[in-house]
Amino acid sequence: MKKVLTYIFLVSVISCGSVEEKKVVQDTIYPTEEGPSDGVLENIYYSIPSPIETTILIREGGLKFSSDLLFPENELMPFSKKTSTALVLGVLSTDLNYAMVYEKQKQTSRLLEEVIKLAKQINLSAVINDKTKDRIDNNINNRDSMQIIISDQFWEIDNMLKENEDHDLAALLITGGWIEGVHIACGLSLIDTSNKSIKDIISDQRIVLENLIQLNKSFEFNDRINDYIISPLTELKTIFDSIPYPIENLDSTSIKLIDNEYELGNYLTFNLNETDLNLIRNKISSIRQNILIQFL
Amino acid sequence: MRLLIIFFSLFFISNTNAQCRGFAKEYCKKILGNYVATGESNISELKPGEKHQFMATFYKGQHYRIAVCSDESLGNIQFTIRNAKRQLYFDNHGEAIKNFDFRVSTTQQLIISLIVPKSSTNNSENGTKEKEEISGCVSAITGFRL
Repeated sequence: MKKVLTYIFLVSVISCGSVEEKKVVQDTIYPTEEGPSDGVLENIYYSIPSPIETTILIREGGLKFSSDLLFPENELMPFSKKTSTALVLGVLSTDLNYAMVYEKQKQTSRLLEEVIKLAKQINLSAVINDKTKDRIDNNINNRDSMQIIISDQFWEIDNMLKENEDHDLAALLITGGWIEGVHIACGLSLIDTSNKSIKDIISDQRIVLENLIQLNKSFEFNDRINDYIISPLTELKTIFDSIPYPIENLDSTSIKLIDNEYELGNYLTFNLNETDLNLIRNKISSIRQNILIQFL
Repeated sequence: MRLLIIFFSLFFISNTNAQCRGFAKEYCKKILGNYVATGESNISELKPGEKHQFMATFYKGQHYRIAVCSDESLGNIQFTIRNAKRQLYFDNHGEAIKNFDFRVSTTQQLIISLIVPKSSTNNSENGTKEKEEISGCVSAITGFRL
Protein backbone atom coordinates (compact mmCIF):
# COMPACT_ATOMS: atom_id res chain seq x y z
CA MET A 1 0.00 0.00 0.00
CA LYS A 2 1.19 3.43 -0.91
CA LYS A 3 2.56 5.42 1.90
CA VAL A 4 0.73 8.64 2.44
CA LEU A 5 2.70 11.59 3.70
CA THR A 6 0.73 13.70 6.04
CA TYR A 7 1.47 17.30 6.82
CA ILE A 8 -0.38 18.69 9.73
CA PHE A 9 -0.41 22.35 10.55
CA LEU A 10 -1.75 22.87 13.96
CA VAL A 11 -3.26 26.25 14.42
CA SER A 12 -3.39 27.42 18.00
CA VAL A 13 -6.29 26.27 20.09
CA ILE A 14 -8.07 29.27 21.40
CA SER A 15 -9.45 28.29 24.73
CA CYS A 16 -11.35 31.45 25.41
CA GLY A 17 -12.62 34.41 23.49
CA SER A 18 -15.46 35.03 21.11
CA VAL A 19 -17.49 32.24 19.52
CA GLU A 20 -15.95 33.12 16.17
CA GLU A 21 -12.45 32.77 17.57
CA LYS A 22 -13.17 29.33 18.97
CA LYS A 23 -14.26 27.98 15.64
CA VAL A 24 -11.11 27.16 13.70
CA VAL A 25 -8.98 24.92 15.81
CA GLN A 26 -7.06 22.86 13.34
CA ASP A 27 -6.23 23.14 9.68
CA THR A 28 -4.85 20.07 8.02
CA ILE A 29 -3.61 19.86 4.46
CA TYR A 30 -2.84 16.56 2.85
CA PRO A 31 -1.06 15.92 -0.42
CA THR A 32 -2.89 14.04 -3.11
CA GLU A 33 -2.36 10.34 -3.28
CA GLU A 34 -2.21 9.16 -6.86
CA GLY A 35 -5.05 6.94 -7.96
CA PRO A 36 -4.75 3.99 -10.31
CA SER A 37 -3.02 4.95 -13.56
CA ASP A 38 -6.15 4.65 -15.70
CA GLY A 39 -8.03 6.98 -13.37
CA VAL A 40 -10.66 4.34 -12.63
CA LEU A 41 -11.31 3.34 -9.03
CA GLU A 42 -11.11 -0.38 -8.57
CA ASN A 43 -13.78 -2.43 -6.75
CA ILE A 44 -15.70 0.54 -5.57
CA TYR A 45 -19.31 0.37 -4.42
CA TYR A 46 -21.73 3.25 -4.70
CA SER A 47 -23.92 4.49 -1.93
CA ILE A 48 -26.87 6.82 -2.48
CA PRO A 49 -28.39 9.11 0.17
CA SER A 50 -31.70 7.86 1.51
CA PRO A 51 -34.95 9.61 0.57
CA ILE A 52 -35.39 10.68 4.17
CA GLU A 53 -32.24 12.82 3.99
CA THR A 54 -33.56 14.68 0.96
CA THR A 55 -37.02 15.19 2.45
CA ILE A 56 -35.51 16.51 5.68
CA LEU A 57 -33.41 18.98 3.67
CA ILE A 58 -36.56 20.06 1.83
CA ARG A 59 -38.35 20.68 5.12
CA GLU A 60 -35.35 22.50 6.59
CA GLY A 61 -35.28 24.68 3.46
CA GLY A 62 -38.60 26.11 4.62
CA LEU A 63 -40.66 24.62 1.80
CA LYS A 64 -44.29 23.71 2.22
CA PHE A 65 -45.88 20.31 1.72
CA SER A 66 -47.75 19.74 -1.52
CA SER A 67 -49.89 16.62 -1.79
CA ASP A 68 -50.20 17.25 -5.54
CA LEU A 69 -46.62 16.11 -5.91
CA LEU A 70 -47.27 12.65 -4.48
CA PHE A 71 -47.52 9.66 -6.75
CA PRO A 72 -51.18 9.30 -7.79
CA GLU A 73 -53.23 6.99 -5.62
CA ASN A 74 -53.64 3.77 -7.58
CA GLU A 75 -55.09 0.39 -6.96
CA LEU A 76 -51.72 -1.33 -7.10
CA MET A 77 -52.04 -4.68 -8.83
CA PRO A 78 -49.36 -7.31 -8.29
CA PHE A 79 -46.56 -6.60 -10.77
CA SER A 80 -45.43 -9.32 -13.13
CA LYS A 81 -41.78 -8.42 -12.54
CA LYS A 82 -40.00 -7.89 -9.26
CA THR A 83 -37.94 -5.13 -10.85
CA SER A 84 -41.11 -3.08 -11.45
CA THR A 85 -42.22 -3.68 -7.87
CA ALA A 86 -38.88 -2.51 -6.49
CA LEU A 87 -38.91 0.63 -8.64
CA VAL A 88 -42.43 1.66 -7.59
CA LEU A 89 -41.68 0.71 -3.98
CA GLY A 90 -38.80 3.18 -4.11
CA VAL A 91 -41.09 5.91 -5.44
CA LEU A 92 -43.70 5.33 -2.75
CA SER A 93 -41.05 5.11 -0.04
CA THR A 94 -39.91 8.63 -0.86
CA ASP A 95 -43.51 9.84 -0.79
CA LEU A 96 -43.94 8.15 2.57
CA ASN A 97 -40.85 9.91 3.93
CA TYR A 98 -42.04 13.22 2.53
CA ALA A 99 -45.51 12.91 4.09
CA MET A 100 -44.07 11.66 7.37
CA VAL A 101 -41.47 14.42 7.68
CA TYR A 102 -44.27 16.98 7.29
CA GLU A 103 -46.47 15.06 9.77
CA LYS A 104 -49.26 14.45 7.25
CA GLN A 105 -51.00 11.62 9.05
CA LYS A 106 -53.59 10.73 6.43
CA GLN A 107 -51.06 10.48 3.61
CA THR A 108 -48.53 8.72 5.84
CA SER A 109 -51.06 6.01 6.70
CA ARG A 110 -52.17 5.52 3.12
CA LEU A 111 -48.63 5.39 1.76
CA LEU A 112 -47.45 3.05 4.48
CA GLU A 113 -50.19 0.58 3.57
CA GLU A 114 -49.13 0.71 -0.07
CA VAL A 115 -45.47 0.28 0.84
CA ILE A 116 -46.29 -2.76 2.99
CA LYS A 117 -48.36 -4.24 0.15
CA LEU A 118 -45.52 -3.87 -2.35
CA ALA A 119 -42.87 -5.04 0.11
CA LYS A 120 -44.77 -8.31 0.50
CA GLN A 121 -44.49 -8.90 -3.25
CA ILE A 122 -40.71 -8.93 -3.12
CA ASN A 123 -40.42 -11.03 0.03
CA LEU A 124 -39.76 -8.19 2.45
CA SER A 125 -42.60 -8.96 4.82
CA ALA A 126 -40.13 -9.97 7.48
CA VAL A 127 -38.84 -6.41 7.77
CA ILE A 128 -41.80 -4.23 6.86
CA ASN A 129 -45.22 -5.43 7.87
CA ASP A 130 -48.28 -4.68 10.00
CA LYS A 131 -46.07 -4.44 13.09
CA THR A 132 -44.25 -1.55 11.42
CA LYS A 133 -47.60 0.11 10.87
CA ASP A 134 -48.49 -0.37 14.54
CA ARG A 135 -45.16 1.13 15.63
CA ILE A 136 -45.70 4.14 13.40
CA ASP A 137 -49.33 4.54 14.46
CA ASN A 138 -48.19 4.54 18.10
CA ASN A 139 -45.68 7.29 17.36
CA ILE A 140 -47.70 9.27 14.87
CA ASN A 141 -47.43 12.41 16.99
CA ASN A 142 -43.71 12.07 17.57
CA ARG A 143 -41.92 13.06 14.40
CA ASP A 144 -38.44 12.16 15.61
CA SER A 145 -39.48 8.65 16.64
CA MET A 146 -41.24 8.15 13.32
CA GLN A 147 -38.16 9.27 11.41
CA ILE A 148 -36.03 6.82 13.34
CA ILE A 149 -38.49 3.98 12.74
CA ILE A 150 -38.77 4.71 9.01
CA SER A 151 -35.00 5.12 8.57
CA ASP A 152 -34.41 1.86 10.39
CA GLN A 153 -36.96 0.12 8.20
CA PHE A 154 -35.23 1.23 5.03
CA TRP A 155 -31.87 0.17 6.35
CA GLU A 156 -33.43 -3.24 7.07
CA ILE A 157 -35.01 -3.39 3.60
CA ASP A 158 -31.71 -2.65 1.88
CA ASN A 159 -29.99 -5.17 4.13
CA MET A 160 -32.54 -7.89 3.43
CA LEU A 161 -32.51 -7.36 -0.33
CA LYS A 162 -28.74 -7.66 -0.33
CA GLU A 163 -28.86 -10.65 2.02
CA ASN A 164 -31.22 -12.32 -0.46
CA GLU A 165 -28.72 -11.48 -3.23
CA ASP A 166 -31.33 -9.16 -4.80
CA HIS A 167 -28.78 -6.41 -5.39
CA ASP A 168 -30.52 -5.36 -8.59
CA LEU A 169 -33.77 -4.82 -6.72
CA ALA A 170 -31.96 -2.81 -4.04
CA ALA A 171 -30.54 -0.59 -6.81
CA LEU A 172 -33.97 -0.10 -8.39
CA LEU A 173 -35.55 0.70 -5.05
CA ILE A 174 -32.95 3.43 -4.60
CA THR A 175 -33.40 4.61 -8.20
CA GLY A 176 -37.18 4.90 -7.85
CA GLY A 177 -36.75 6.74 -4.57
CA TRP A 178 -34.25 9.16 -6.07
CA ILE A 179 -36.44 9.93 -9.10
CA GLU A 180 -39.39 10.73 -6.83
CA GLY A 181 -37.20 12.89 -4.58
CA VAL A 182 -36.00 14.99 -7.51
CA HIS A 183 -39.54 15.18 -8.86
CA ILE A 184 -40.76 16.57 -5.51
CA ALA A 185 -37.87 19.04 -5.35
CA CYS A 186 -38.48 20.22 -8.93
CA GLY A 187 -42.21 20.58 -8.23
CA LEU A 188 -41.50 22.64 -5.12
CA SER A 189 -39.12 24.87 -7.06
CA LEU A 190 -42.09 25.86 -9.22
CA ILE A 191 -44.30 26.54 -6.20
CA ASP A 192 -41.71 28.58 -4.29
CA THR A 193 -39.70 30.21 -7.06
CA SER A 194 -37.67 32.49 -4.80
CA ASN A 195 -36.43 29.71 -2.50
CA LYS A 196 -32.66 29.32 -2.97
CA SER A 197 -32.31 26.13 -0.91
CA ILE A 198 -34.51 24.06 -3.22
CA LYS A 199 -32.31 25.05 -6.16
CA ASP A 200 -29.27 23.97 -4.15
CA ILE A 201 -30.90 20.62 -3.37
CA ILE A 202 -31.61 20.08 -7.08
CA SER A 203 -28.13 21.12 -8.20
CA ASP A 204 -26.57 18.79 -5.60
CA GLN A 205 -28.30 15.89 -7.34
CA ARG A 206 -25.70 16.15 -10.06
CA ILE A 207 -23.30 14.35 -7.74
CA VAL A 208 -25.84 11.80 -6.55
CA LEU A 209 -26.88 11.01 -10.13
CA GLU A 210 -23.29 10.21 -11.02
CA ASN A 211 -23.19 7.58 -8.27
CA LEU A 212 -26.65 6.30 -9.16
CA ILE A 213 -25.66 5.69 -12.77
CA GLN A 214 -22.46 3.94 -11.66
CA LEU A 215 -24.48 1.77 -9.28
CA ASN A 216 -26.95 0.76 -12.01
CA LYS A 217 -24.13 -0.06 -14.45
CA SER A 218 -23.37 -3.12 -12.33
CA PHE A 219 -26.63 -4.80 -13.38
CA GLU A 220 -28.20 -6.13 -16.53
CA PHE A 221 -31.77 -4.93 -16.45
CA ASN A 222 -34.58 -5.82 -18.81
CA ASP A 223 -35.33 -3.62 -21.84
CA ARG A 224 -38.19 -1.81 -20.17
CA ILE A 225 -36.00 -0.67 -17.27
CA ASN A 226 -33.19 0.24 -19.66
CA ASP A 227 -35.37 2.13 -22.13
CA TYR A 228 -37.62 3.99 -19.72
CA ILE A 229 -35.40 4.52 -16.70
CA ILE A 230 -31.68 4.02 -17.21
CA SER A 231 -31.31 5.71 -20.62
CA PRO A 232 -33.34 8.79 -19.62
CA LEU A 233 -31.29 9.03 -16.43
CA THR A 234 -28.16 9.08 -18.57
CA GLU A 235 -29.73 11.89 -20.61
CA LEU A 236 -30.46 13.74 -17.39
CA LYS A 237 -26.80 13.36 -16.46
CA THR A 238 -25.87 14.99 -19.79
CA ILE A 239 -28.04 17.97 -18.83
CA PHE A 240 -26.33 18.23 -15.42
CA ASP A 241 -22.90 17.83 -17.01
CA SER A 242 -23.53 20.75 -19.36
CA ILE A 243 -23.97 23.12 -16.41
CA PRO A 244 -20.70 24.97 -15.61
CA TYR A 245 -19.20 23.84 -12.34
CA PRO A 246 -16.32 25.50 -10.46
CA ILE A 247 -14.03 22.47 -10.67
CA GLU A 248 -10.84 24.48 -10.22
CA ASN A 249 -11.76 25.18 -6.60
CA LEU A 250 -11.72 21.48 -5.80
CA ASP A 251 -7.94 21.29 -6.11
CA SER A 252 -7.32 22.12 -2.50
CA THR A 253 -8.65 20.32 0.48
CA SER A 254 -9.25 21.43 4.01
CA ILE A 255 -10.50 20.02 7.26
CA LYS A 256 -11.57 22.25 10.10
CA LEU A 257 -12.75 21.51 13.58
CA ILE A 258 -15.81 23.61 14.26
CA ASP A 259 -17.80 23.21 17.49
CA ASN A 260 -16.30 19.76 18.13
CA GLU A 261 -17.18 18.51 14.69
CA TYR A 262 -14.96 18.30 11.61
CA GLU A 263 -15.98 20.12 8.50
CA LEU A 264 -14.60 18.71 5.28
CA GLY A 265 -13.99 20.40 1.95
CA ASN A 266 -14.18 23.85 0.52
CA TYR A 267 -17.05 26.18 -0.13
CA LEU A 268 -18.30 26.10 -3.69
CA THR A 269 -21.15 27.96 -5.27
CA PHE A 270 -23.05 26.29 -8.03
CA ASN A 271 -25.81 28.46 -9.39
CA LEU A 272 -28.58 26.80 -11.29
CA ASN A 273 -30.26 29.17 -13.72
CA GLU A 274 -33.89 28.95 -14.80
CA THR A 275 -33.07 27.42 -18.19
CA ASP A 276 -31.08 24.57 -16.61
CA LEU A 277 -33.72 24.09 -13.98
CA ASN A 278 -36.42 23.79 -16.65
CA LEU A 279 -34.42 21.20 -18.55
CA ILE A 280 -33.93 19.14 -15.38
CA ARG A 281 -37.57 19.53 -14.41
CA ASN A 282 -38.83 18.41 -17.82
CA LYS A 283 -36.55 15.40 -17.95
CA ILE A 284 -37.40 14.15 -14.45
CA SER A 285 -41.07 14.71 -15.15
CA SER A 286 -40.86 12.55 -18.27
CA ILE A 287 -39.00 9.78 -16.37
CA ARG A 288 -41.65 9.78 -13.67
CA GLN A 289 -44.35 9.73 -16.35
CA ASN A 290 -42.63 6.64 -17.76
CA ILE A 291 -43.05 4.94 -14.40
CA LEU A 292 -46.76 5.79 -14.35
CA ILE A 293 -47.41 4.64 -17.90
CA GLN A 294 -45.00 1.76 -18.35
CA PHE A 295 -44.78 0.16 -14.94
CA LEU A 296 -48.24 0.37 -13.33
CA MET B 1 -22.01 -33.77 -9.04
CA ARG B 2 -20.83 -30.43 -10.45
CA LEU B 3 -24.28 -28.96 -9.81
CA LEU B 4 -24.12 -30.19 -6.25
CA ILE B 5 -20.77 -28.45 -5.72
CA ILE B 6 -22.12 -25.21 -7.24
CA PHE B 7 -25.21 -25.44 -5.04
CA PHE B 8 -23.19 -25.89 -1.86
CA SER B 9 -20.74 -23.14 -2.90
CA LEU B 10 -23.62 -20.72 -3.47
CA PHE B 11 -25.21 -21.76 -0.19
CA PHE B 12 -21.94 -21.12 1.61
CA ILE B 13 -21.44 -17.69 0.01
CA SER B 14 -25.02 -16.67 0.73
CA ASN B 15 -24.77 -17.92 4.31
CA THR B 16 -21.52 -15.99 4.90
CA ASN B 17 -23.14 -12.89 3.47
CA ALA B 18 -26.12 -13.27 5.79
CA GLN B 19 -23.78 -13.74 8.77
CA CYS B 20 -21.97 -10.49 7.92
CA ARG B 21 -25.24 -8.60 7.61
CA GLY B 22 -26.34 -9.93 11.00
CA PHE B 23 -22.96 -8.88 12.37
CA ALA B 24 -23.37 -5.33 11.04
CA LYS B 25 -26.82 -5.09 12.54
CA GLU B 26 -25.71 -6.34 15.92
CA TYR B 27 -22.41 -4.53 16.35
CA CYS B 28 -22.02 -1.70 13.87
CA LYS B 29 -25.37 0.00 14.29
CA LYS B 30 -24.66 0.50 17.98
CA ILE B 31 -21.65 2.67 17.11
CA LEU B 32 -24.01 5.05 15.29
CA GLY B 33 -25.42 6.06 18.68
CA ASN B 34 -28.08 8.73 18.17
CA TYR B 35 -27.33 9.09 14.45
CA VAL B 36 -29.90 7.55 12.11
CA ALA B 37 -28.72 5.09 9.45
CA THR B 38 -28.92 6.69 6.02
CA GLY B 39 -30.48 3.63 4.46
CA GLU B 40 -27.62 1.65 3.04
CA SER B 41 -25.05 -0.61 4.59
CA ASN B 42 -21.67 -1.50 3.20
CA ILE B 43 -20.68 -4.94 4.28
CA SER B 44 -18.00 -7.25 3.04
CA GLU B 45 -16.12 -10.34 4.00
CA LEU B 46 -12.39 -9.64 3.85
CA LYS B 47 -9.08 -11.39 4.45
CA PRO B 48 -5.92 -9.76 5.85
CA GLY B 49 -4.56 -7.22 3.36
CA GLU B 50 -7.87 -6.83 1.52
CA LYS B 51 -9.80 -3.61 1.08
CA HIS B 52 -13.46 -2.60 0.76
CA GLN B 53 -14.24 0.87 -0.50
CA PHE B 54 -17.36 2.75 -1.36
CA MET B 55 -18.25 6.17 -2.65
CA ALA B 56 -21.11 8.05 -1.04
CA THR B 57 -22.67 11.48 -1.33
CA PHE B 58 -22.87 13.71 1.71
CA TYR B 59 -25.13 16.73 1.78
CA LYS B 60 -24.17 20.17 2.96
CA GLY B 61 -26.16 21.00 6.07
CA GLN B 62 -26.35 17.47 7.50
CA HIS B 63 -24.28 16.09 10.37
CA TYR B 64 -22.84 12.65 9.70
CA ARG B 65 -21.20 9.80 11.53
CA ILE B 66 -19.42 6.94 9.79
CA ALA B 67 -19.29 3.88 12.03
CA VAL B 68 -16.90 1.06 11.27
CA CYS B 69 -16.80 -2.40 12.76
CA SER B 70 -15.08 -5.69 12.03
CA ASP B 71 -14.54 -9.17 13.38
CA GLU B 72 -12.05 -9.06 16.25
CA SER B 73 -9.94 -11.74 14.57
CA LEU B 74 -9.02 -9.25 11.81
CA GLY B 75 -7.43 -6.76 14.20
CA ASN B 76 -7.97 -3.03 14.00
CA ILE B 77 -9.20 -1.91 10.61
CA GLN B 78 -7.58 1.01 8.83
CA PHE B 79 -10.32 3.44 7.91
CA THR B 80 -9.79 6.39 5.56
CA ILE B 81 -11.97 9.12 4.07
CA ARG B 82 -10.96 10.83 0.81
CA ASN B 83 -12.63 13.19 -1.58
CA ALA B 84 -13.38 12.24 -5.18
CA LYS B 85 -9.87 13.36 -6.15
CA ARG B 86 -8.51 10.93 -3.58
CA GLN B 87 -7.19 13.67 -1.33
CA LEU B 88 -7.09 12.38 2.21
CA TYR B 89 -9.38 13.88 4.84
CA PHE B 90 -9.14 11.32 7.58
CA ASP B 91 -7.05 8.28 8.43
CA ASN B 92 -7.33 6.34 11.68
CA HIS B 93 -3.93 4.76 10.88
CA GLY B 94 -5.26 1.38 12.00
CA GLU B 95 -5.89 2.58 15.50
CA ALA B 96 -8.98 1.60 17.45
CA ILE B 97 -11.05 4.56 16.27
CA LYS B 98 -14.41 3.23 15.17
CA ASN B 99 -16.26 6.34 14.13
CA PHE B 100 -15.79 9.75 12.61
CA ASP B 101 -18.22 12.65 13.01
CA PHE B 102 -18.25 15.37 10.40
CA ARG B 103 -20.16 17.67 8.11
CA VAL B 104 -19.29 18.91 4.64
CA SER B 105 -18.95 22.51 3.55
CA THR B 106 -20.33 21.63 0.11
CA THR B 107 -22.32 18.59 -0.97
CA GLN B 108 -19.73 16.13 -2.16
CA GLN B 109 -18.73 12.56 -2.81
CA LEU B 110 -16.37 10.88 -0.41
CA ILE B 111 -14.56 7.60 -0.76
CA ILE B 112 -14.54 5.51 2.38
CA SER B 113 -11.98 2.70 2.49
CA LEU B 114 -11.77 -0.12 5.00
CA ILE B 115 -8.47 -1.98 4.93
CA VAL B 116 -7.73 -5.12 6.89
CA PRO B 117 -4.13 -5.10 8.17
CA LYS B 118 -1.76 -7.66 6.77
CA SER B 119 -0.87 -10.42 9.18
CA SER B 120 2.15 -9.54 11.31
CA THR B 121 1.47 -10.91 14.77
CA ASN B 122 2.57 -14.46 14.18
CA ASN B 123 5.80 -15.08 12.33
CA SER B 124 5.89 -18.83 12.46
CA GLU B 125 5.26 -20.48 9.10
CA ASN B 126 2.13 -22.28 10.24
CA GLY B 127 0.89 -19.33 12.25
CA THR B 128 1.18 -16.95 9.31
CA LYS B 129 -0.59 -19.40 7.06
CA GLU B 130 -3.42 -19.75 9.55
CA LYS B 131 -3.67 -15.99 9.91
CA GLU B 132 -3.82 -15.50 6.13
CA GLU B 133 -6.69 -17.93 5.86
CA ILE B 134 -8.74 -15.98 8.33
CA SER B 135 -11.54 -13.95 6.88
CA GLY B 136 -14.08 -11.86 8.69
CA CYS B 137 -16.89 -9.39 8.37
CA VAL B 138 -16.14 -5.71 7.88
CA SER B 139 -18.82 -3.07 7.77
CA ALA B 140 -19.30 0.67 7.57
CA ILE B 141 -22.59 2.37 8.22
CA THR B 142 -23.31 6.02 7.61
CA GLY B 143 -25.71 7.86 9.86
CA PHE B 144 -27.02 11.39 10.03
CA ARG B 145 -28.22 13.42 12.98
CA LEU B 146 -31.91 14.30 13.13
